[in-house]
Amino acid sequence: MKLERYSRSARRLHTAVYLLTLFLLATGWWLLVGREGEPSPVARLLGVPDAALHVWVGWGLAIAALLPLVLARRGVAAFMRETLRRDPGDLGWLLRWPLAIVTGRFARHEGHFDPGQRIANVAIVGLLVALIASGIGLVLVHFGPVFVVLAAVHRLATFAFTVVIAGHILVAAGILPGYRGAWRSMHLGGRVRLDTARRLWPGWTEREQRLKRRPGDREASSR
Amino acid sequence: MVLAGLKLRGWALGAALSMILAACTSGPSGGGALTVGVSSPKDGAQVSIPFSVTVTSNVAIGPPESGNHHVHLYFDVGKDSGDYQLVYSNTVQVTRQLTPGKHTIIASLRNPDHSDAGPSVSFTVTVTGSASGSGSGSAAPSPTSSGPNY
Repeated sequence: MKLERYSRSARRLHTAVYLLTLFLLATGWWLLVGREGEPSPVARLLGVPDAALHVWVGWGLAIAALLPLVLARRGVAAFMRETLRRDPGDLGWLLRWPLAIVTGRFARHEGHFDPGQRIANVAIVGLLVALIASGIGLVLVHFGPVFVVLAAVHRLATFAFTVVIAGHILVAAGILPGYRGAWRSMHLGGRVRLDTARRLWPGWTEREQRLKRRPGDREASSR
Repeated sequence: MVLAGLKLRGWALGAALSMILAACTSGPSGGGALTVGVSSPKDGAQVSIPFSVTVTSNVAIGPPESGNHHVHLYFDVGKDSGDYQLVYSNTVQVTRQLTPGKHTIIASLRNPDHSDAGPSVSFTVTVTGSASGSGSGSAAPSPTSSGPNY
């Protein structure tokens, strides 16, 4: 038995954002390590300088990130509500987390996201906002003292974002034994096995199973 | 009344933001057009690898993190190419292995975000086969640049 963790539109948005973000990280780091002026393989292929590519794809990310605010406000509200929730057992969950990533014996939690995911969500969204806002500022300002501040923000946010995203990929890819199977929640239909769902999101799994047994409850819960 | 106050505040905020943006994106102090030039090597000079290029401008030249403009040197390609040498100070050493013979170099003034600031200058050098020292060109004909502000 499998449970659908995320809707198709949520998975599509996630895919669009991570493809654009990974491309921006690649071109951004290419420029950061001093390869500016030396075309990357992609820049060579497209015949466009890396800096210009970075700006164009950056606009793409800005649009992709803003679209849900217009087209999926309820989804954004649900994401924010579940990300910002705090439950009494969160600290205990976090204390057991270092061992649980190996053993898979996570503490129980009731959220759609586990407490670690909630922290990651805040960090990822916060850093994305900082990167997009400072990136747009850099394009508009071009030079001068404000440019210097924006460039510093953009650079520091890139360092922090790289670390956070590396951690997110490590967890979400299911490389760690405790998170085995988690990658399915965002890929290939977005359905995770029941044992994986119980291990990672026990409270959510029970609610979903109850709703599956009594479909009328789903409407009531969504109101 | 309250609405009028809010509108006025919105207008004032917009005006302030416009002024800040204008201040951030204005040209050199004094309001003149941006310029870039190359004082060495002279146009048509003979050089050997490596050689120095000295650029001049009416704005400070520096790395992007300084907020100053910088220069891109394009070797036998147009300004839209992704292959160029960065110039973050007034003098730079060209070390790339240019083949012996005549080469056209474009010096383009860039904003710190690497977008084109406008002015550019084109000059030619003839690379000789021997690589000795960092001479900045032996012949010194008067410049015949095709670009502005040379």
